[in-house]
Amino acid sequence: MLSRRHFLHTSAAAAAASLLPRKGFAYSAPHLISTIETLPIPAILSAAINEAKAAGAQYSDVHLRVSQREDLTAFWGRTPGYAPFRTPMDEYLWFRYYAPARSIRVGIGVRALVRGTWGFAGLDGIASTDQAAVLGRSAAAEAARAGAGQSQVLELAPAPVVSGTWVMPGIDPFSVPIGEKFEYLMAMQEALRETRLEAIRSYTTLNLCKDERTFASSDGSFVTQTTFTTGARWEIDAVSDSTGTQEGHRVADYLTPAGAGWEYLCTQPLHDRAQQLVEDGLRSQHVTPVNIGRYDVVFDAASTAALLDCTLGTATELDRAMGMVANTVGTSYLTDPVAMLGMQQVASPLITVTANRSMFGGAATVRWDDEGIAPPEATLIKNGILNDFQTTRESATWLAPAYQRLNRSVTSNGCAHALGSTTPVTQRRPNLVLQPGTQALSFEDLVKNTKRGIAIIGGEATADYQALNGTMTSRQIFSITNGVIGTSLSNAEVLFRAPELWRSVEAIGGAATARTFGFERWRDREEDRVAHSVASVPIKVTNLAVGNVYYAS
Amino acid sequence: MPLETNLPGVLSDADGKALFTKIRQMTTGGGDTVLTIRSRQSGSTTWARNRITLASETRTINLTIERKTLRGRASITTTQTDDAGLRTAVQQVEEAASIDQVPFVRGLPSVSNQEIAHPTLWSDATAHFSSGDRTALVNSLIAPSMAAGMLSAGKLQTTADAHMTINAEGTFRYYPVTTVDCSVTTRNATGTASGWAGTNHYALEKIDPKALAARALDKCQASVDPRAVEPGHYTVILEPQAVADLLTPMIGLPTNSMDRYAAEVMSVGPFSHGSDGSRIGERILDDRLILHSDPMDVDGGFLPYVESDGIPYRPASWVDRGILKELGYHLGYAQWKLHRKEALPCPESYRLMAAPNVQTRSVEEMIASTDRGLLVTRFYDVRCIDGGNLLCTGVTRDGLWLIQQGKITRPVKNFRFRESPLYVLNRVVNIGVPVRVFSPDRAWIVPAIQSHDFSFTSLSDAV
Repeated sequence: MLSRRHFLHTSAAAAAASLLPRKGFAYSAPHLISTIETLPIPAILSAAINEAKAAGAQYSDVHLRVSQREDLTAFWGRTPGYAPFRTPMDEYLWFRYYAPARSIRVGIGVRALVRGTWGFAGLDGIASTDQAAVLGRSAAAEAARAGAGQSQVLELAPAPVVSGTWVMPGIDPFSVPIGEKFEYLMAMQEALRETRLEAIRSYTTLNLCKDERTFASSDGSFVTQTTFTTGARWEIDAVSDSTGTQEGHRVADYLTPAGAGWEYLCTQPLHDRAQQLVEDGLRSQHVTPVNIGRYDVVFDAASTAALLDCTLGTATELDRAMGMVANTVGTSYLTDPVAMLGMQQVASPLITVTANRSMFGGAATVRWDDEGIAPPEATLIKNGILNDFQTTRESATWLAPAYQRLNRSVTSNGCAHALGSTTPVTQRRPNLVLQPGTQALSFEDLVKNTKRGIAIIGGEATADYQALNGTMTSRQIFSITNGVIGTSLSNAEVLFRAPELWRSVEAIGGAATARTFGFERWRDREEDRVAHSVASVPIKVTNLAVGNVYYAS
Repeated sequence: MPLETNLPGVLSDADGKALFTKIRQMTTGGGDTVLTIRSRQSGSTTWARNRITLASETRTINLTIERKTLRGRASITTTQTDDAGLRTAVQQVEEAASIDQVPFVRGLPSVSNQEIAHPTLWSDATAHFSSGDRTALVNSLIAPSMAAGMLSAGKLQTTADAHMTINAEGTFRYYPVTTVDCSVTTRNATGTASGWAGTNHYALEKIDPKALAARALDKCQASVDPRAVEPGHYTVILEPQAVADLLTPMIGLPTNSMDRYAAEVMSVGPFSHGSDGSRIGERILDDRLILHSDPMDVDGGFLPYVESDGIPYRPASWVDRGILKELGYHLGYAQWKLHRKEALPCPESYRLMAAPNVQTRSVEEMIASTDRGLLVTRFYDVRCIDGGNLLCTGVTRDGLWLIQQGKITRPVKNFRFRESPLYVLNRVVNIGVPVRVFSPDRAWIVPAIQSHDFSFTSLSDAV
């Protein structure tokens, strides 16, 4: 078996790491994209905007973006069950680590609005001022050709002119030497070993991302910001003895992506929680098949976050609800946003959901969105009533009649996001917050008040293309009898219809139970994932259908 | 096939070679360097609610630099082609390679120099399809829906790519490829009906966007106000797109199950017998079915080599008359266990079809022969819940109809299903003529399939 000592002796990077200070994170590495810093960025951006306007654009904006990504992977176990790059040698290895996978993406994208239609032109690499001007002209020409003959005028919600620079608080993960990152991976394995319980397989990845974005618009805004997304996946398969065949699977839920630097990982209680991780894994081995039927269900904070994200979080995306992405991801069960706003009861009065991209540590957190909007906190669901949607400068105006009826101004909720500089700005999910209940109820209290039901921990949810019908499954589902958690149930799945699910929420956890989880979503055929956070509390929902994954219910 | 793309926005072979020379000069420490380039010029038009919402044109480049040294191997992807950017990338990848645990073993050719098949994957008309042309075509796709009082949404995208794989040992592969993707969704204003159609190919002249738009409109008009029927087991007529969606866990990436190493060494997946090896030689599908791949397939052309290592794809018969004949394997496994010299990589293209002398049926004939069943347009969000037998769940979308006494009688509400492609393709009643389906970046040619006892488990009344 390869030991940590072996690693330290064989890896050049670890040799370098051994020279590093053990505490503090003061050291820094040279900036990766040194070329960018020497560029006349304001001149490049101005050239693009000016040319777009000269070519007839009523509005234009430009993004220059540098994205760096690094994924580090290690595997520890008896068999190479999860090794993604296998070689015959893998069979004899206990501890296997891989070279980090890295990417650097640099590019520029120009957007122009002509006669109610958007045009976009994007170019990878570092653009010269002349190239930027060509992009500006191309974007306007694309829009003009596509919009010819269209009568609809497209308005944009007002946006204050902004300028400034912002760097997300935290330690730049790309300033941390590679050796320290591998030491972190090894510390995860060490923590498992110290539990003295046998975790036969552990698969760990660190996912680090840094985005440097410069944005300028024809309104006069010019901002520069740097954001980090840091997260890890730590999954284990545990057996109670060396001959055990049934494995207990568990994924740590406290390392999900966050809008934070390297310190996010360093402050996680790996050692304290390793024992729990393995015990949870072992506990999920001893299972009895679920009895199909209707149950009161207690969801832990992670399960509630997953439910919220794939139902209300998806349904309140205004571009979906208006049918603008019907051909790809789908629509929404909130089918008439203008009429429903302020009127429609979509959840129990216990439910209030806010959206923002300004919460500390949120994976979707920015200082300005990709239209230069400082994201406000928007209340999407207020005491169970549909109160707002996730919007951009364009989509907010679609709700103007409803906002007028409610005496509210038309403003963007800051959900504009460009996946990369050569990808046009679209609407993306902000951070979501399910407000805790007023009573100080814990997960255990919710269980205690349940006579016959089931409890779901760490559930994974999926819903259809209108966010209407869905299922939740988990490796950690337990029966509840007379307020006490009982046996682990196998193959159980909760079947739900979103409106009924949220209207049937009977109790909700208090502020002390609130936790935040990161989610990554793809839309359509995107190459990159986009992360956002969901802050959540446990809930209890009455009378839900519970089926068996393997049999028709 | 042109040797050059003749597009100023796409890299020529000389550009690629020059980049590689530059990168080679920046490397230190010997070993091999593999440069993979995808240079792309792309134009797309997106529309929704009967109007064009976005027209875009982009020029992108992905350089993947892989270093293989005695210390280890690593790769990095960058979009920077300037000297400083390349130097940064080379430094980064060399640092990464020094950390890899398994050294690069010489003896195996790092990139294949074998001759490759040369399917035609280039269309000048597609490469030079201008944004004005796109707008005119898209407007002609929207018009019928608008005239019918329906709402059309969709996307039309054309790309012209130069693919290159170059290494220090003399391998140089340059392949220009065009693609076109077109998909259309038509809904009614009240949101109670939805129809969809789509396809992709290498050339515009190979597809008929207007027919796609017409089909989406027809499906929408025929699916207004669906009614619920009971979940349960139904005879189904799966249109080709639905068959392709169901096959995704079996042959789609990244979940391709057709891996011999996984089946024989790791003992996982549907084609493994545990410690007794793979199921090659056993019947796994209906004995009228054939699943094969051929880079020269006239309707299924795809890049004829694995982009990352240049190894050529070979014609392969995966399933012949229901018998599993082959599973994909990489070069290391070929030499280690199979005593073969060549790898058999799993490609991006598959053709599922009826065996010779098996009578194929049209969808209309299948409907006429169905006493009670359902006609399925496509599936959505198909995910595997058991990798051992490829049991999947997902929902139907954009058109589901009840068939009674040989006729479509009414649209019905969507269902969630629970099935395995292996089960469905063992309960085949009739097989259609294979056609190209919507599978961007891949080339899948599959037929409509009539199958009995398909398991729909619960109502999913989204439209």
